Amino acid sequence: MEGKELQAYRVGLFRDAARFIKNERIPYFANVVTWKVFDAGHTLDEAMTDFDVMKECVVHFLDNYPCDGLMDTGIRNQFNVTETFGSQGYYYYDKECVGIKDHATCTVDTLMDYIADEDRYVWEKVLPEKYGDEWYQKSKETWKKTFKAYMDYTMFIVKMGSLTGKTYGIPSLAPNNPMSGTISFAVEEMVANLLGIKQMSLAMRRNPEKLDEFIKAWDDKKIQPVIEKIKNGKGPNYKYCFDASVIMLSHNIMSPSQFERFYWPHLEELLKAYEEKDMNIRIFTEGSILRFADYFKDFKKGTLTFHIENDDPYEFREKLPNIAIMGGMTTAMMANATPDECVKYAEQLCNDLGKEGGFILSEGKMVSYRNDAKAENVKAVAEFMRDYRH
Amino acid sequence: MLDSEKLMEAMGDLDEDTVKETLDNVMAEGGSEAQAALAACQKGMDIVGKRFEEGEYFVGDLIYAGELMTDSVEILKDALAGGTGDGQQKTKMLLCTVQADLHDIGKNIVKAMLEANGFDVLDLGIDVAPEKVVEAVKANNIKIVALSGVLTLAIDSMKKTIEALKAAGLDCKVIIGGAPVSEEAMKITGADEWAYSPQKTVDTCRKWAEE
Repeated sequence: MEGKELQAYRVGLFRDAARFIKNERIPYFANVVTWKVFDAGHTLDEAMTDFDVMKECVVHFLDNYPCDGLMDTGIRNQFNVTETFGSQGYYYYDKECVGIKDHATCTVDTLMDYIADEDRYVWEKVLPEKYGDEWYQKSKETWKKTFKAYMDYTMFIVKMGSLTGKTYGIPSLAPNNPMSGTISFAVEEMVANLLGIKQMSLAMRRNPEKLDEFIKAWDDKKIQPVIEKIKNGKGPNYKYCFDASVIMLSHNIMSPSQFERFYWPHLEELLKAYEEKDMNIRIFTEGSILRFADYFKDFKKGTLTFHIENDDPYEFREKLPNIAIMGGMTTAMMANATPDECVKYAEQLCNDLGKEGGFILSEGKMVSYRNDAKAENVKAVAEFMRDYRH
Repeated sequence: MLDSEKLMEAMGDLDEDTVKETLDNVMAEGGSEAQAALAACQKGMDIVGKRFEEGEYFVGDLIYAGELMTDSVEILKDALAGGTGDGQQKTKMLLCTVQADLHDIGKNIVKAMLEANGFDVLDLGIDVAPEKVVEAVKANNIKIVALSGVLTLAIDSMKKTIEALKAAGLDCKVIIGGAPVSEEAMKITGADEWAYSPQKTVDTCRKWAEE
């Protein structure tokens, strides 16, 4: 099999696993991000500013490590556009490291200005902070170069999607049309961009009413249209591995009462809408989610798949037997164990957690840095998963 | 007159208004009870740590508690500097995020918790090279070192730092903390202890300070 036929086969693997349906194979989703840059013999600063180098790294990975899905096709963390215009902003990177500084583009008092008119807010507040007050008066040459960089980036995204799909048969994880593919909640936007971790932590204590007001406005504008679309739609879309992908990070700073107030009501409403339409959702949970296990225990089996990072997969299965698991392989093992030990553990996970579906093998933590995994371990696990049959 | 019990509870409840009002009153009355007020705040931080361990509070609450404790010391500082201290010697210790790692949120939470528990924390910041740690330990006669890191790269840096401390013949205890840290990482790096939670770091450092 190759190309579209292989893509469709792999979509079936993921869908069956998510639905707790036994299939001849358990899929392997490579949660490999920037590690593939080092493995291809490059450094981050080379790959993140040069599309050709990044493409070479992705191709090198797919040529050497058989996988059914890939977290990043090289399109994350590209800095060409912002740097052409004149700043890295709140990102930093060097040969070995890439990161994002805790930053705030709003205060609790300006959150409602942002949601009222996002374009205006970005134009008047965010861009001056990032590029200076005279940002719009940059030279014609700079604007031309920036537009070109932006177009090049857009083309790169299209090309990589086509390359990974047509040549390697890697399916798309979830539909990517605005706000119905990857869905972001108000709390996630506040932690990631609008307030940052520190200001959000303080605001949950000092200004909870202001957060409530913003969260409601965000929900009305961004989440309710998605729910309407789901309710009026045809249900599952079998072109993709999942019908939606949700990323949860901000719960890692919340106490149970804060989660109950700021996050859960909005998340629950969305998840229920998908459940009613018999659609399935992948939730990537950075950190740990088991503190909040009770909230998810009544969902219909096969609706939710949690990609777990720090949670133990066995404890997860015991507490949430209705939810499919993506994950299992720890960075500690991928980085320190032998290939035999890694394969033995992968086999154990498949036998214990995936005999009747409900399990997708993946690395829990994004494999990002040089020391996050040994190449021989990634290869051994990928090849084992390709060949493993029940 | 200061109600230490009420202040301690207010700090434990993260009731900012009551804490600050109480401390303002202490200062308005001349500051003679500043040390007792500080001690009550520190005990309140113990409650915060316990509630974190029990799952009632989480990371955001610890960040908020750190801010509240910093603000509290700021309110009391003139009276504390005026010699109203209890004369107890604080244990000086070193804290940093190791080389090749730039994360500081966890480190700062731990720092606030340690300071609230009476440690004099020398914070070397982030991305700190082993030789800088060795230099600072020597110069300040430090016996307790806490190394923080979030990336897997940090494990290598922790190992190098601990090896450098041992090579320099420095007799100090080292605790490592952060996302990639585990019992296994402790063995790999040669650290004396490891911690996933700030409260465990505080408890371990307290125990070492008392030895």
